[in-house]
Amino acid sequence: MLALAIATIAAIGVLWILPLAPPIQYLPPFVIAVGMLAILSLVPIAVGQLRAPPNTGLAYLAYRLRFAEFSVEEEPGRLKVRIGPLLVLRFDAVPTAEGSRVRYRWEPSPVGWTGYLLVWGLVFFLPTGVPALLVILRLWRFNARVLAPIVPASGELPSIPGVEAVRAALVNGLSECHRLAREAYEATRTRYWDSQGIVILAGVLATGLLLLVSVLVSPEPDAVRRVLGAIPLAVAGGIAAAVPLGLLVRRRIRPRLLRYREWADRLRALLRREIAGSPPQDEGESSFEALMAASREVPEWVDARRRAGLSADLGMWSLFVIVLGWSIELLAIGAYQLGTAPLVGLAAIVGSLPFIGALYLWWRWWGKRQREGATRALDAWTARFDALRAQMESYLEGL
Amino acid sequence: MADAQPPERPDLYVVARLLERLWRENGPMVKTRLQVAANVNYDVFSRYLAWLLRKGLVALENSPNGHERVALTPKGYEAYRRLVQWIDEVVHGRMPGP
Repeated sequence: MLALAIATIAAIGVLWILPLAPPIQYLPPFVIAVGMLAILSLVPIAVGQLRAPPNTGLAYLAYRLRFAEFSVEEEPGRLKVRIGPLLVLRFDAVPTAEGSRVRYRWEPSPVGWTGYLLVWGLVFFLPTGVPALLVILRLWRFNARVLAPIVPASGELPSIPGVEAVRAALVNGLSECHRLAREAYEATRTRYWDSQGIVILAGVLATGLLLLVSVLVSPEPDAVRRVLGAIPLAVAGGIAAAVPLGLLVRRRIRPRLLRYREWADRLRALLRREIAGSPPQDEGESSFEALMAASREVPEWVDARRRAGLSADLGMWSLFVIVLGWSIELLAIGAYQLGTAPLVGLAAIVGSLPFIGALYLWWRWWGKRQREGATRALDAWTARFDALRAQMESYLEGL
Repeated sequence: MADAQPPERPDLYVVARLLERLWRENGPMVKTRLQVAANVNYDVFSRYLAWLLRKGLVALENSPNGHERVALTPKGYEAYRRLVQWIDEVVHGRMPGP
């Protein structure tokens, strides 16, 4: 795979250097870079052969990776492991005659995708081959430093000593709660910046609208002077609209953001204590109590992930941004044409309004769907937690 | 102290805190240290200790220096393991097993 990456980057370099016409010169490296990442993410990378059924092998791997402080999400027949902020690995196990063969595929996390697209968009062709090479180097390091020591060469899974059963359950529970708290924090942070982005957009739209109205009602006969005279008022109006909205967003979302971060930090500290098996401290917090308290928060964390806004849903977000881009483009063209061809300009501005209205309705519908899902999840979780508490109390009483 | 009146409905958190502290110690603990670690007053501690002793979750041991020490019994270890196991199952989205 390393050879493939080096060959690809060499091909990109050669095509880039060749004295071809710009579109021909730039297109192949572009296509190769995208194709390379796509192909790399589809190729399963072998972890090893285990003498255990697939589910047992994956459970062992999840246990060991949690002890190595990785965020592990268990799905039926699969594991989702986050390594760093940019990459997610999806493990699965294929049944074989001897047991199972474990492998994984990688994919960028939402932050990773955003980063990659930014690098692509801003710096354009220069680093096209670099992300692929960085991914390969990261995976190679993960294989060598993390997977190799925990996947036995013989394939025989080592037994977990009985004394570790409690610690394993504590690590499992704390790791899962930490993952949920951290994801809630990240989702809320995304929501916060999305909302601030919308506020900025609202400010820009208000500026545009004020500019339009000022230009239309101004008695000044010279068009340039009319526009120049209207700009300060329009900008001040846009700022006056955006700043209170921005402060409102900050007041509504920031306390929750800080609370989620506090939970994530607290659970991480406890998780590290359990992993390290630190000597007991009399004033140390009880992991059990923290887990019970955290499990009360879980519905809110799950809800926070659902309410993260469109940018947490990559497909919907891309479509939204494209349509929004068209609408803004149409609006800008309309504003630009107003001075020279008022009818065309007005038509473009009016034409953009249904798009903006449709986007707003779409956004509302998406939010409603998310809220309904969150309510169902919250009800189910509350019932489960109440059942747990009742079961624990009844168990203690019946001892 | 073992003559103290055990609570009728023991608080799950206090019981779990005492069991966890003993499990974490991996050996017997002097009573006063356990009381401080569990963050409860002497009266509450005495009542919970009586309850734990009655249920067979802990046992008292005499140390050579005359201090009475509390040790986790296999039944106590199993009780704590179960509580942790159940909560682990719940946070992973499963109903707690028997």
